[in-house]
Amino acid sequence: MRSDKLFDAIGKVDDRFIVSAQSKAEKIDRLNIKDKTSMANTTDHENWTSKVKGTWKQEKAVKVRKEQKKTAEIKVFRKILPYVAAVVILLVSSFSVAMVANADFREAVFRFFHIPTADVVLPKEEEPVQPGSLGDIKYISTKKIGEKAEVKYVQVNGNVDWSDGVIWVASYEEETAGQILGIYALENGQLTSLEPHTEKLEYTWDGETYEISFDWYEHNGKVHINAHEFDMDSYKAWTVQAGDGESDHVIINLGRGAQSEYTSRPLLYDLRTKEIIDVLEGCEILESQLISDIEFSPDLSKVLLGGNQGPGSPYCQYYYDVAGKVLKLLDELAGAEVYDARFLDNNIISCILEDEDGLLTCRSYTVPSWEFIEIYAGLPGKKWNTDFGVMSTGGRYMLFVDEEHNTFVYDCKTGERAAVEGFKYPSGSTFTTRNKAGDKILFSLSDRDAEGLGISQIGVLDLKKLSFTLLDREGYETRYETTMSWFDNDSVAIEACPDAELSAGTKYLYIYTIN
Amino acid sequence: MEDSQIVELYWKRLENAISETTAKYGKYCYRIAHNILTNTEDAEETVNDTYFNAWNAMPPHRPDVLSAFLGKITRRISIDKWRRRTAEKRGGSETALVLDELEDCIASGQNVEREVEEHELVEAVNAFLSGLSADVRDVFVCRYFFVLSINEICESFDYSQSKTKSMLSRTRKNLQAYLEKEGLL
Repeated sequence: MRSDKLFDAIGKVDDRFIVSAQSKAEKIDRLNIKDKTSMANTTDHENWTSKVKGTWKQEKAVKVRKEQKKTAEIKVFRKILPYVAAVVILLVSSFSVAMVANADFREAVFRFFHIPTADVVLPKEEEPVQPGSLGDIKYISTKKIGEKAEVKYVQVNGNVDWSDGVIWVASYEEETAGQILGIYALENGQLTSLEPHTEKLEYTWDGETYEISFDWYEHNGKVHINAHEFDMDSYKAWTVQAGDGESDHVIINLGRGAQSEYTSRPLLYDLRTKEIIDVLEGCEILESQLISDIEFSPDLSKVLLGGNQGPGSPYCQYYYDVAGKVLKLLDELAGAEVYDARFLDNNIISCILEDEDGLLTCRSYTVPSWEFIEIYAGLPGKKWNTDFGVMSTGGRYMLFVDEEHNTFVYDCKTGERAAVEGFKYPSGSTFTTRNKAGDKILFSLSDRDAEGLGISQIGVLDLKKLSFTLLDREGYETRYETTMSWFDNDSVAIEACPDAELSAGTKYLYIYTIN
Repeated sequence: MEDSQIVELYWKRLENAISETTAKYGKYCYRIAHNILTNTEDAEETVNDTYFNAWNAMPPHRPDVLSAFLGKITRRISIDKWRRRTAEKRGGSETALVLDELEDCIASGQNVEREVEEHELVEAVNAFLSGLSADVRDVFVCRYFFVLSINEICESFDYSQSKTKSMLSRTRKNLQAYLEKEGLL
């Protein structure tokens, strides 16, 4: 063997090793990534149930992804520190004064609450005896923090992740790395183990047979799943995910081909009857398209699809009523190019239109009347190199920052607009992460001198209640904090390790609920 | 822009995927290419090739860590270019030094040449790296993935030259022992 071969092999090592070394090399700006301003993104986090999948290699890959995510989150947090600090200071100063609604603001005002009692992180001497064996999980306690917040502590022996209020525990040992050891729901201080249900099915699409195997979990009527497989040799892929509602159906997406020849096929699979519904069957127009984007309505009865006829042909977005077989080309419907579209609920679709000057208009259409209300018109989208424009929070609400950095909140369902008076959006920053429902935005402040994330403040901007609540934390260096993201729609979790050695051993979850 | 949004642009086949990638990762890719090629023009060309490769790979690929995904592409293209450029003559660059150092890992006393599948080797290297402490592993990856010079590694980790060199030497020997144990040498 020649050294070239080893050199090439090193070029294909696990991403987590690359990301880890990259963060060290950044100290001297040799590999510095500019404008890395995003925080933990929900999409990645929503994919956690992919860990339930099959073979050792897949499980190992999942573990790698988890480690990558942690590292990336830490790095990103550090990079946004100055911006987040500025945001929190600005918010405190702006919300501290009584806010007055402008002419468009209706009757609502954002109200600022600074919880007077700081949270003091669970001291080491109050830790329970550490779980003895790999996979053990223990609820420790719940602590009230003033009137508006509480924190739950959970101790885990294993790698840990979470989504939708469910905690996933996996092995960190080399031989079984990534293997699932348990999935738990946390409710009222009780951890409930969820049992996996295994599904195996085959489906043939256009002569190609897909063999699909996945596990799913159920809790309070909601299915938890997100499994996927991709065969690089044959360019065949499939994903399975639960819908947002409480349906017995899960979404299976088959894919094949690469880049401009890539196309996908959405299926619905009934977990009870095992029936498979080919969503596009019989729709000739859609069957002839190379579909690359698929979004179902919460009740899975309708779907938004994006695709084209092949290389060079224009990208089009369609609405399709699966049961009623009603197809609409969104561009025709809107009389303009639809830049983006998404369901706000089962019967309302938000469409972003782009004019020749690149300015955006937002309309919300009601199905099936197709009457619409215009949410805004002629606004610029916020670009990476500008400090103003429209920003999607991924849900019902959108933020708009004008050239003077004034900030507004749009409700894309009702058309109402709220101005955040006195608040100046800081330059160069993207500082938010939303919950899955898209109605709350998380802010955080890290102590720059702390080891790990060192979260010293947590703030929640509630877009429904129009409030901003800020919680101070003390003792955040008690353990090495590695990850922070939404635990469910109302709570935020911080993962912490006893020390900076992240790969193995006991982990802690601090789960904060701020009302 | 968030990585997931940039990946979405590739999936929607929108050309601003490239401009957003350039804005966020252009410098990063350039650094990797320049570390290997030590030539501005070649590095810039490599970065453009990286974007082209990324464009062809997404979809169906949906990278979990965009920086690592782009870094791997850049490194592979840079090395290919470096090999074509230097052909049989080596020497005078950091890449040549790195390759010479890696000879330590593959010098087998048994002198039995075995054709090893690349995926076997990648899995073995991954397993070996998994067993290292974080600092030792990071130093190894900085040197042999990112092709940073010894001085740059010293600066990054605040280590002395002798400590860095001895750490790398020890790791190479351990890697050699590991590869032998796994029957790959």
